[in-house]
Amino acid sequence: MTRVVNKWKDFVDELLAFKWILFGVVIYIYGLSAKEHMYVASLQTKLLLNKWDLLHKFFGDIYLILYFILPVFLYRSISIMMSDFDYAVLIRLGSYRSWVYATLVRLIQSASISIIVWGAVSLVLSIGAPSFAGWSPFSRLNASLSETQILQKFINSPILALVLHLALFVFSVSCIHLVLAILYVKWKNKGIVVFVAVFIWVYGVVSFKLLSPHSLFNLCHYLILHSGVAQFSNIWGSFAMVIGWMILLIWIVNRLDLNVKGYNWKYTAFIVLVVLALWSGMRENVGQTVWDQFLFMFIGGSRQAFYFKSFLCYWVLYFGVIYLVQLHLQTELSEMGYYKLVRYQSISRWFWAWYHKIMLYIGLYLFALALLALFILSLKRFSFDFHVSIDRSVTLLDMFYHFFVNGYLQVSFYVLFVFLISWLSKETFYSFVGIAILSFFMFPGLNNRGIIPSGLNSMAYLLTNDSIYRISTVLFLWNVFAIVFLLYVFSKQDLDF
Amino acid sequence: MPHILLDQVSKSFKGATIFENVNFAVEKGKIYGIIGPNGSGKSVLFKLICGFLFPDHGRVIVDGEELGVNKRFPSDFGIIIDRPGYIAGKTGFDNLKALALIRNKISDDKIKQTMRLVGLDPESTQKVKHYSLGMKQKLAIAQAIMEDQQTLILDEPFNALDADSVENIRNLLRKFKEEGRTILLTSHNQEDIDVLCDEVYRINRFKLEKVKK
Repeated sequence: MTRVVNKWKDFVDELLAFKWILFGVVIYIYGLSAKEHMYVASLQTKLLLNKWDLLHKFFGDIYLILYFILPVFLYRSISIMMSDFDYAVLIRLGSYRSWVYATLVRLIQSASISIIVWGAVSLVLSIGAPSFAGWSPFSRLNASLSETQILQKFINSPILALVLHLALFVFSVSCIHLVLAILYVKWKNKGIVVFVAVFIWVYGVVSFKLLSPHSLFNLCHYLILHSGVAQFSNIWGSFAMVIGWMILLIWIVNRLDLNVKGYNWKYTAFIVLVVLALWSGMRENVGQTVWDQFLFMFIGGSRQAFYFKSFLCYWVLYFGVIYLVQLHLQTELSEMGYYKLVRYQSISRWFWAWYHKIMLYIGLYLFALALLALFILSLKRFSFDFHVSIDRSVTLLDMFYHFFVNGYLQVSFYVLFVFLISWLSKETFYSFVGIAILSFFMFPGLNNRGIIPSGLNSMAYLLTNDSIYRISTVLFLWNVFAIVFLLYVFSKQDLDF
Repeated sequence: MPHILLDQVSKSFKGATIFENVNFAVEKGKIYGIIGPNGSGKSVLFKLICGFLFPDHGRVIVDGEELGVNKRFPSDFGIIIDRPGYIAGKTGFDNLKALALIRNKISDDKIKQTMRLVGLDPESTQKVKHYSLGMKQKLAIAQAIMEDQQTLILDEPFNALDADSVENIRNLLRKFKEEGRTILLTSHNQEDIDVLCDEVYRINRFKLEKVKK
């Protein structure tokens, strides 16, 4: 009880602090001129505005947010971190993770105060305007002259639009704070954090001034709802991006306290490559639905259709993951000694224990790949109609079957193939050579009968006369053959680690 | 099982070695003194034990748990490492209260009682920015002991204290030891070390050498 009372007392003390009064004064002065502009626009269009137009203007003005609010929050974020980073505080909190979240809570408290002040000033400024009565005639104008004219096309209620805008703003500011807090925990250097904060602000201004309004890299889309709505043509695009970032940052925060000797950048590099491969796989001029683009992202190559760019994308998406499996395998093999085999009592048993995990990972990888592709596609303006418009004979069921079942069997074969070479040669290099040779069979003319297990899960096969069920059979048989061969090798070869 | 164990710990900063393959075990209920010249790594040792720094090699284990695996900072530790960053515009009591609220385990009375124990007036309206160095040091000790922490890591706890206060804190630490608490401290004053510590270690050539049993 005492704790709650203390928190409220601190909150009220903070609210009445001079800095927030100054904050309100700046908004008021800027708001006066913004209000005048709104009335001029209303007069020119001869359409009446109301209090919602003014409130949305004051809360969503790009210049106000970029040149005043954002710097204030960046400063506040850093000052909270500096004052709270203390060994006596840390030992009580128990972990850096808790510290990051504690500072985030303080920042959100500051955000709440700033929104209260911001709202109070905005209400004062809107005195005299026609009362709140839904979207005004001015906001219903089919133009994009004001914040409300953009928002009313997508959101029915002006109050909901305002709540969503503030939620997006708080989420974005929280993400920025998490980035700064993570950097501070990692380097404990105020200079680095200040530099990054200044960089974020300059980037925000530069991206607003120099980048195209439709660029995904414009920071305003993620701070200001009407800007994001104009970019994505829906209200969820900005939220999806910001929440995606937040999940990533929370994941990093949760790892801050682990004693990891040197971060393994290969996984980050792989994720970046996968995103680039998927992004470059889109063909915006061909195909209207998300499923058309999904097909293009994983098109790979077949004997009837081969594009080098698609081949490279396939390489990244499928052989890239095999490279990671190879690294995992290398660790497993190097750690495996007689002591481990004695416990498993046979190599086959050890192999199955390892392969079970890999089978699960393959499924999860394909699932994650599909989700990532759909997430990227949702950021573009493709229709979500449930059909493949580029080839009406291809059903969504065929597409999912080919992507998941044939994809699973194909990747599974690649893993077995790499395992076999690693086991026989004890050299990582030969696995790469083997994979490179296998991938050559994706080139036109080298796999005319479709029986060599290379790139058979390419979506290009959906656009040919090949039966996807025949492909499944071929891949299944190759998997069985590889497993039988491996078991034979296990039974014949000496063990020498 | 030792309360705190450093197992083959090595630590260096930008190529300068501080510790190399250090093994150090701390038993519960004893006072340990760590001595060494300036820059020898006394504070680094304490930061390693508290989990503020990770060793480059080796492990730090507290109560059987390796720091950095499931837990980052050990529980129930009271520490003075560098001087705490006080809120200058608040009183000593308000500063301690702000720290106590993090765990919310103790009452205002307990905070006041601890302040009296170290020789501070809890009712004083004097702000910390007007405190002397000695008063700030007492406040640092108060925050380290106010929640009855069972392990105390005290880097130069007697700095800036007058003779009476030194004697008072020494008696306090002796009482804590009798209660079974574990204390690790550093001091530049050999007398503090001699009269308080059960075991004394010197940092020498990147290792911890035992100099008193």
